[in-house]
Amino acid sequence: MRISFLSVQVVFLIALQLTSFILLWAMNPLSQSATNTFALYLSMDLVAFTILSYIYRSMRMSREPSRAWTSVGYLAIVILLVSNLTLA
Amino acid sequence: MPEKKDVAGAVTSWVDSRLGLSHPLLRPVPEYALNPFYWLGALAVVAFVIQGVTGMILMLYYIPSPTQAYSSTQYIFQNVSNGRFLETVHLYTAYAMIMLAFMHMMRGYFVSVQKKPREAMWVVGMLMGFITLGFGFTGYLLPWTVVSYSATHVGVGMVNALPQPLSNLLNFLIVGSSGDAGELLRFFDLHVVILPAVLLILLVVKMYMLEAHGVADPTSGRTSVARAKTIPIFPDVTVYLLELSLLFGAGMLLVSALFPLNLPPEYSALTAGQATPQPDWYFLWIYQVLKISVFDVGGGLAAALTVVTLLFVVLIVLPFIDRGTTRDISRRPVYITLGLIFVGELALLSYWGYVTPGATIPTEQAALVIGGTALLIALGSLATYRLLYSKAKARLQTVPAARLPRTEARSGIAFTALVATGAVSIGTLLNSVIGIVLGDHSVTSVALLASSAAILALDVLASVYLIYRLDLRTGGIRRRVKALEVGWRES
Repeated sequence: MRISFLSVQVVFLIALQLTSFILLWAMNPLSQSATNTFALYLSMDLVAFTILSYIYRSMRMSREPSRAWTSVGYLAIVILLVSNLTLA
Repeated sequence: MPEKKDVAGAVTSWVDSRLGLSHPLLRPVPEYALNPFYWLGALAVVAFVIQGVTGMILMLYYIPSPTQAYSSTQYIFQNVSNGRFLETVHLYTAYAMIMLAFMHMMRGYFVSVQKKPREAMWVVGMLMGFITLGFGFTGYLLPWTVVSYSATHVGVGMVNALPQPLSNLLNFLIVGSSGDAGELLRFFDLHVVILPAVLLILLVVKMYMLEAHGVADPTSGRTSVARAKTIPIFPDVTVYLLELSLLFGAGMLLVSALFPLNLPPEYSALTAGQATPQPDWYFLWIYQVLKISVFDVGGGLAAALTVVTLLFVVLIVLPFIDRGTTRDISRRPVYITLGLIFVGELALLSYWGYVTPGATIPTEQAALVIGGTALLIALGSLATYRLLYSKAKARLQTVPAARLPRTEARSGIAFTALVATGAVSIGTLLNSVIGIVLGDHSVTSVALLASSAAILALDVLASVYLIYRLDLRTGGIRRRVKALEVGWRES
């Protein structure tokens, strides 16, 4: 069975969202650094969901998802992740 | 054999079959409207929803009484889970809502959506804009900090100078006769009940009219709704809007995490004298107008407020003033120039008000800075039109009209940003020149002069370059010089 690059992306994005969702519940919500981490993980979640929605909409409209836009999305996720590690 | 569906398709079908979302209640949207500039109003509504959710959580802890307002706000900051973050998100989405509503209005003005048959939509939209400003005004007082109390009371004091019957109406609505406690309660009630209710009613009315009239045609008339390919509202447009909303939400969360709000000191008779009353950024332009010394004399305040009120009235009745039928930007040089001057002056006055808190502005200086800026923007705009017309004539004779690309909107934004930056730098330049001539030789003054001159020079160079690269067939800016890449696709 051939696994397409898009399927890999979708699985990765869902896994990323699940992981950050679990992390969001495991935080002390009263300290400022935890609040920053909370906000950045939530942003990452939203960006991941945006990419998923974009891929879904593109496929529905019989278009190839733009590599430029999805790359910008992944770059944003990486930046948020690195910022998280820096702020934590 | 039944058609095989993917998981996402199956979920969409299930939701649709139960909720009937694809039922033709809402008309489909033309494909060209899948562009963020068509959804600025929708994003303002998303900001309003975020405001509603965060506001409801904050309301669980906030106590609208002069003795407890500050301490309950402090409690939210220090003891509520992610309380400071919630306050920050609530404030920043309010700012975003005001900015998005303003951008929505200006985009509508520049592409003439207010023309027949959408005049009533424009009027309702303007009323929604005022309600949005009302949210900002009423919400600013609630934490009961020294800054918010002082600034709000300057605003409340001005109510008496407004023209009638506006003055009486606002006095009745926001001031009352029971002192600080009654006033705070009225502000709170307006903020959490009355204004949201009125906004929602107006939103429903506007949505109804949008559904009746549909999305406006592009300004060039090259692509009409009748000829454009349409997309169903569910799931395609809904998912597109979801994408925009998620990105907006992510941006808001990020900004709130990076720049968390700090609670200023509490208002008291002792601290009151230490703060310079300064409104939030969206009222800074009015604040700056009121600081001009000509309005210090008797009746001056009333005159200034009458001018500001008249400006708002003109904005409301604009569709009945601008009666021309053409919506093409290239054929509306006067209205486009007036719009650019409006944006430029707002940016200039806001910035000027921000850097000169509490300072009275000499009338001559204000006349020079405001008048000079307007004159330069007008000259720049009219020169651009002249240049464009001469280029357009030569090109349109040989080249067939192309389909309206998105690049046209991007070019418009680029030029508007350049005009706003240019207006601020011209104003700062004039202001510092006048200061130096009058004897202010401080380092700040000279640094402001040098930096504003440098920014203005760069702004002019960028404008000339973009005009040079502007492709009049498409309205887009062509990229040819790699070193000066402007970053968007050639259409």
